[in-house]
Amino acid sequence: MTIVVRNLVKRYVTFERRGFLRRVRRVVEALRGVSFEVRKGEVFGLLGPNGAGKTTTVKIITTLLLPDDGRAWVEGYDVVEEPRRVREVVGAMLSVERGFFWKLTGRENLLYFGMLRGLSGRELRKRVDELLELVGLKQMGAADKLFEEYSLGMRARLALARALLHDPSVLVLDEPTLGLDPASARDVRKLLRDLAREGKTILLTTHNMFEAEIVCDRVAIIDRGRIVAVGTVPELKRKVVGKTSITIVSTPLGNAKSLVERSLSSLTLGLSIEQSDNDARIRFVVDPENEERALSTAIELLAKLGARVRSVRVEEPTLEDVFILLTKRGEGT
Amino acid sequence: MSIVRAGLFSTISWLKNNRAAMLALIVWPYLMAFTILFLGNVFGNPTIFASRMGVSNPTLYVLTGGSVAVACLAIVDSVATSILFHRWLGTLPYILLAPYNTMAVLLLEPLPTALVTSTIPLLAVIPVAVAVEGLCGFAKVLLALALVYLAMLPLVGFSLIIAAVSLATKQEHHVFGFVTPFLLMVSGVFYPIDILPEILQLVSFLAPPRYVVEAMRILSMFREPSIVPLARCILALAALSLLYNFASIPGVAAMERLIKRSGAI
Repeated sequence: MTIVVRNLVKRYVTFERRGFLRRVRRVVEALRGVSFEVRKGEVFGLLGPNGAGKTTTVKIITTLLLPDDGRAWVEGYDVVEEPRRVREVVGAMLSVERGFFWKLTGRENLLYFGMLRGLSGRELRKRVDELLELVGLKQMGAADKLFEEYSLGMRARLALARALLHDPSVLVLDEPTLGLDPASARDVRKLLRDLAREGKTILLTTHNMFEAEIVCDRVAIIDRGRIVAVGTVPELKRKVVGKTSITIVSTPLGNAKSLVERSLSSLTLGLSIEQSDNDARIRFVVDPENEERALSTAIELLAKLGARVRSVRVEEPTLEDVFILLTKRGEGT
Repeated sequence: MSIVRAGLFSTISWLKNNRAAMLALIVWPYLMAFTILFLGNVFGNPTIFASRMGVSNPTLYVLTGGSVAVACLAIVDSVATSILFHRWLGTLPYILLAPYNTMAVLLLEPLPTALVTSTIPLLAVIPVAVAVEGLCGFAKVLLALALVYLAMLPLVGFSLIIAAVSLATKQEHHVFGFVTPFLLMVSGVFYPIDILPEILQLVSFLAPPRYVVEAMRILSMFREPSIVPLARCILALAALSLLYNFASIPGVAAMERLIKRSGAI
């Protein structure tokens, strides 16, 4: 096993302001005993909604955060006891948008981080050149442009190049395609698959089901600081075999969202409601015997609330439905 | 060594790509000196100022003394705000991911910036120093530069303590907004320390810029620099170096723990 995580617990202390002087101490449990293992050479996805504990897990594995309890090892090195060893074998990408000097070019940024990694001279310049080519920045003519002039897609490529500078055996990537346009996201995913084929072990967090399905060999679903399921995508999909997924798109529900949630939750196995300025997307997983009842209840309720139904889709469940089923919610999907 | 090299590379690249910043560093001591001299001439008397401060050439003193003060503040700014600067940029996690002792990274990475940003303002005053006092002026600037480098020793420790306090209190802006003008005030660069309230006079003994400015005044006052008072300043800087650097070790260790426990990255 390349990465082993055992019962990680992490609590954050926050202070809520109540009035001018009073502050109330609040303890937020970000991780409540997270355990999983990542095998050598596989792409492992940590899938979860916002605030599930994905980034906290990644920060602990990369030695940037100390756990309150539990342990984790990367290539056999303990992340708390041997942080320097862990940093030698891990390449990290923690944010796509930030993390570089704005007034330095892409190449200069990589040279700087390479020097910080102990690389120097011709070896470093050659490595930077190779990586700029690998991630496509050289071909785009962006290697010697200032970072502040980079598009989000270029920044993601540069971040990936930085993670690879010291040729690490393990890559830890936190939402590597977040905010990217479809073409850039596709390129980054292709790069990840290529790197996995070269033997790199990749742990990536995402809340993008499509990404998890096409990039990851195995997926762990994390929710409210706990791992709720681990397996390959087909294995996870088996949890919803024989069930039906229904998606209703309607005009926005406004404040009635919670009423719809309450009314449908007893009829469904998992329910997710997403709202934008233009529409509401209600997605739920049901047993076949409840399909008709749940659908008619939903449509009647929407009609009663004055929401106009734009489309109804009944289909075989996907990974998104597994996610909805296991987390009982579907934010960020 | 690779950490220092990386810091130097980023500083030089930044100045190369950002010429306005380079120009600001060069012009800064002149602007400061011009303002002080202009106000001094309008509202006061340069002769009285020279005798009160104990300097032979008030123009050169204000220019070099001002750039020494600017250089000292640049050191504090580079080291103390380095962690915050990297946090704002989002580069802090990647700096901490360097496979070295975290404390060494936090200490060594900003040193080249401190060195470069403190050297440029002093080098910038060389033409005026040479024009006013010839080779002697040039030698004085070089001595001032050496003094600033010496002041770097206590200022680095001092800045790390400030960084730890600002991170622990989460009041970065307020801490720096207070520390920088305070250091300038107790440095005694633009007026004698004797006119400050007694408590501030006592506090000024703990401010490294005071001794650099004092040494500058000694150099400016005598054609032949007096060794004993100069040696006293150097000894004071050495003592403050020991004090601040020893005190900063637990401070930085606590800061590292704080960052890694609280997730402040």
